[in-house]
Amino acid sequence: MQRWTVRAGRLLTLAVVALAWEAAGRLQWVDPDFLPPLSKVLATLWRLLHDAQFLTDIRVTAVECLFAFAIVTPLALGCGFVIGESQRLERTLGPALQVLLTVPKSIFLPVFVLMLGIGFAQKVVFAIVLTFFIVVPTGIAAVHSVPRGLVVAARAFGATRSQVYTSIYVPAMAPLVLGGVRLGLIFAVHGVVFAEMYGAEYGIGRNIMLWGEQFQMDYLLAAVLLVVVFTVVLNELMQLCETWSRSRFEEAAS
Amino acid sequence: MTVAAVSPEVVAARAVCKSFGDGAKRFSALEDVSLSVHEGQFISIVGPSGCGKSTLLQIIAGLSATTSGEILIDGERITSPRPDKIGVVFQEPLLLPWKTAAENIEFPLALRHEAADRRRQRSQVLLDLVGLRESAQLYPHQLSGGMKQRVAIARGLVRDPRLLLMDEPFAALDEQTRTRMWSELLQIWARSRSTILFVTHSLIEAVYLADAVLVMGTRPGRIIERLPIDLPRPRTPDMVGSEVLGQLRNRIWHLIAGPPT
Amino acid sequence: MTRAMVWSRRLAIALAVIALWEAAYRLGVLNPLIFGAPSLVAEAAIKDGPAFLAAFRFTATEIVVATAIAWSCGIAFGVLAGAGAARSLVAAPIFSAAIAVPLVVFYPVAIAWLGIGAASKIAYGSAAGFFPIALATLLGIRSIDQRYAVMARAVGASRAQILTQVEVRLALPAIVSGLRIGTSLAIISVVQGEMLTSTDGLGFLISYHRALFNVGYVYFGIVLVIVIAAASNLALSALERRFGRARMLEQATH
Repeated sequence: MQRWTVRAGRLLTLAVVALAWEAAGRLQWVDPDFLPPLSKVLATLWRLLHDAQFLTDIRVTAVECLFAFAIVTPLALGCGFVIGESQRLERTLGPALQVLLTVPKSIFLPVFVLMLGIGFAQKVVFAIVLTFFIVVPTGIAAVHSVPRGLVVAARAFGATRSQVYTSIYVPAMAPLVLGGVRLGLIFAVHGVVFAEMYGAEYGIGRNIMLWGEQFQMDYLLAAVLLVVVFTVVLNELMQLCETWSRSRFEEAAS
Repeated sequence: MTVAAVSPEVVAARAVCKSFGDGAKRFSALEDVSLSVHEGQFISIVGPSGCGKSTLLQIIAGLSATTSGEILIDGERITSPRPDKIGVVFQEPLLLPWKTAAENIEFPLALRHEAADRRRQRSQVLLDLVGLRESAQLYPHQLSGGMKQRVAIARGLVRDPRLLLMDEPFAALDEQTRTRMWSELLQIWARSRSTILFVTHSLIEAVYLADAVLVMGTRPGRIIERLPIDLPRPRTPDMVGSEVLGQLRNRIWHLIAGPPT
Repeated sequence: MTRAMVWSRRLAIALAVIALWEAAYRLGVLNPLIFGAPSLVAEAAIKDGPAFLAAFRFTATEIVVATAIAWSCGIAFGVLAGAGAARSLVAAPIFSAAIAVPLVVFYPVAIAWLGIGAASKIAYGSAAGFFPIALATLLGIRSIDQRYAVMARAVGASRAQILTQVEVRLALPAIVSGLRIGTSLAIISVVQGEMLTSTDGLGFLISYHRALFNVGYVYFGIVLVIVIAAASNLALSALERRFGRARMLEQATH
């Protein structure tokens, strides 16, 4: 019963926001040039999704994101695992990691432009560098989250190395690893989109900047809406995976 | 000597019933519980796990509502917390970690925006009462378990309530600290002349401390018997091993566990 | 290790990095156009100091304002949402979803509505900082030991008193860690905004000089941004020491 009231609450909030957006434009609460009503934006989005140029831009952005994500996530998690497993490495590299985390890496984008120009490689590399330092701590935490007591007990009962890995390490680390994957996705997308907005020939980010400069609010908001919906849906899916894996681990532990 | 029953009745429970859930899942925690405590008395409530003694205490404290029946404090119906009339000590001291011992004791007064010097006066009096004068400025993490509970007791008494409710306050302490706390509590009770209703699952504790023991049964929770304790006061630690106390304890044990086979 | 020792070690490492950087430049190991050098940075500082100082003040002001808004609104909304079970179940996924979205796509919208001055960057920075703080506050309030609230009720606290004097205080470690993330995001966002579209600020100068290939100036700007980030990090660490998890644990145990 309670779960349905909660779901209803969320849908209600969404509905209220949508209605307010529509009303704001139609009823002239705000200047419709600044905030076109939702219906107009959706119509524009529909047109865009049938526009070849726009679809190309979507594809470029998506490919850049995918590349960055696919490279950085295993790399960063892997480094995290290695560092987490070794006390020495953690002690020496830990502080350096902390320091690097406090540096806002976006300010280095111009350096990447100087290095690689404006293009596919520059965006992917920038996104990788941005995401790397954020995901590594998750990898470290995942390794730390394995309950040592269980490992010792399992070994005492004669479990082989691979058995220990599959039945204890994997389920224990899964929630945090999936969380790291989700972080990797979020920041890879963020890096790519920001880089595109800064300077690009193709991509959604470039379109967003362009439409903003040209004050074409309906196009701008359509693209923004698309990005928002897409990232939220992806995020929700990944969180479902995380919750599912977390409950699996409780089972496995008992 | 137990206090004469001529003193006014402080708290009365009349036919209190408490159930949870409805329909098929209805669970009766308390059924037709009635009790009476007079001013100055120390009454224990003892019973097996799940007999509803803590639920009963929550209801008397006004933290929980009855399904039927009523609680009267000085003849007044209680349906919500009455910090002016009732002080509560829980199993965990639940002291606020960022406040000193004195500030924790003053907490109920601070909530009523009482003046700082009046608060300070009051907490000084109570710190003396519980024997923690020197620890006034210490923080909870600097106090031992027994000291923390004494601060909690002081907090429970700070508004000079008609009744002090204690819900297994020594359950989390080790045996030696516990035994020492018995003496401490009896001294505090004698000095403050408060009325105490004390819930515990320890039969010895219930008998040793009280003027009378209310023995509760389980499923459903109800009061089986009211057992007057005729041990002389002041109680001394060697009474714990005495025959009289042992017999009383056995009596309660049989009431709870059934007659000897 | 005493504080003095830690700091002298950090200083030594920083000096070593600077020395290596300069050495790499002198020896022609790295492309100077991309990697610059400390001496070039110093040159930029001498030649264009006042302009950078003005930009520093501009950026720092934006960051302070954005952070203040993010902190106050984030904590307020987080407390309000966390105070009720149903409310928190509806609000938590909304906050969490907002964190997944690359909010940078809203920046052009902010520009269209608020112009290219400080206002749009403050708006974007506040929004970026708001959500993680609100979420951390909400989760913090929800996760505290409920028995303290029962105790407070028993001694006569009103609902409002329980919330503000007991629950918020108990949730402080979680709130402070949220403040950490939120502040960091606010800073990144303000600088990103300046890099994309601005009239002033360090982000703007970094971008401007990149276009002119003035590498020394670019890195000077970068260094100044790092200074701001480091300063805020220090401030937050101090806050964490005072109110954070370690302190709470020390206070709660024997």
